[in-house]
Amino acid sequence: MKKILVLFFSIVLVGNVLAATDEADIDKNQVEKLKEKVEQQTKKLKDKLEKVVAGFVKEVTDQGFILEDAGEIKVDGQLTRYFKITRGRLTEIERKDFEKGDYIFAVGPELEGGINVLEVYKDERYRTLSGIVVEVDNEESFLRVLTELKTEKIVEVKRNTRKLILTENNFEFERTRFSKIKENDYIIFVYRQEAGEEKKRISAYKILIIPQELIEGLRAEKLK
Amino acid sequence: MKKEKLFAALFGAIVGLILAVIVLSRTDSKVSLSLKEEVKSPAKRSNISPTVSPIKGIKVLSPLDNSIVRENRVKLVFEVPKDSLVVVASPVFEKAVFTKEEKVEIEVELSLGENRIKIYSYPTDPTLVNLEREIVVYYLERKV
Repeated sequence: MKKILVLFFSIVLVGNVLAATDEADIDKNQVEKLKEKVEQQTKKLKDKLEKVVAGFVKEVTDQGFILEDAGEIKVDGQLTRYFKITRGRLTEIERKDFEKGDYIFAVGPELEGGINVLEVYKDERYRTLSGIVVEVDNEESFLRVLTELKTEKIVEVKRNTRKLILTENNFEFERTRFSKIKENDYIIFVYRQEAGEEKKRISAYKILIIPQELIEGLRAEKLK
Repeated sequence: MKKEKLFAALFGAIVGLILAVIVLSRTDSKVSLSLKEEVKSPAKRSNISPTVSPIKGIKVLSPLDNSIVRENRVKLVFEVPKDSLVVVASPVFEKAVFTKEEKVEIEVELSLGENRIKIYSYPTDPTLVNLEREIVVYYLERKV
C-alpha cells in the first residue's frame, strides 16, 4: 500500500511539474533536471516493486498457472508477455507453449499480497547440493554422496559433466578426471531439477571436488 | 504570478520526494529486519540444512534474496566465520577463497534468468560446523 502511495506521489509530482511548465516561463534546464530526477526515482521504485514467483507448473488454467508449492498465479490476457530462456538466449513465446512440468517464474509489481503478472519466463531449474563422497564406483562412473541434508544421493558423472577440483596452492578450480575423486572428499554438485518428487539418483551437470586433505591441512595449520 | 507557480511546483516536488524517502526507508528497514529474523531463526534454517550452526549462519548482506538485477554480474556480500575456506557455486560460476575476515565480497557472473547461488563455508576452527546458504537472483535484460 505504501509503495502504491509512493508511486502516486511520484506521478502527482510529474503532473505538477508539467502543468507548471506549460504556463510559467521557467528555465527549461531546471525543468529537465527535475524531470530526470523524477524519472530516475520512478525507475528505482519500479525495480523495487517488481516481485518474482517461481515454481513447476502443476496445471495450466484459463486464468493462469497453478504452481507446485507456490499456488495460483493469474495472468492478464492483454498485458502479460511470455518468454523462453534457452542457453542464455531469450525468445518470445505464446501462452499455449506452456505445459505441466515446465519450470517458470512470473514477474510483476506487487498487488494486494500477490503480483500483477506482466512477464512469464520458461526456464530451467538447477539445484546445488554438497556432501561427502562415501563411495566411488569407477566402473559405472557414479558417486554415493551423503549430502548436507543428511540424505544419500547417487551422483552420475557423465562425459559432459564439468569436473573441477580445488587446488591447494592458489585455491583455483581446475579440470579433473573421475579417477581423481576419493572417498571422504568434499563434493559440491549441480544438477537439473525436474517436477515431481526429488529423485535419489541424479545426473550431475557440474561437480566441484574439495580434497579431504586440503580441508584437513587448513585445520592442522590453524592448530599450530 | 509566475514566481508563485514556480514556488508551488517546487514545493510540491520537495514534499513528494520527502514522503517518498520516508516511506521507502521504512520499507527497507522492514525488509532488512525480516532478513535478520530469517537468519537468526534456527528452527527455520534447520529445516533447510541440519549442518548449519544454530548459533551463527552465513549472513548475506547483498543482494536481497529473490531480487531482480539488470546486469550479468552481481557483487555478493556476506559474512562467514573468520579463517574459513569459502566456495561460491552456481551452474555457471564457481569461486573459492580463503578468508581471514568475516566479511567477504565476490563478484558473481550470472546467466539469463534464474540464478541459484550457493555459498559454502568450511571453517578451520574444528569447533565450528560447515555452513551453507542459498540466494536466488534473477538476471533479466531490459526489453524495449
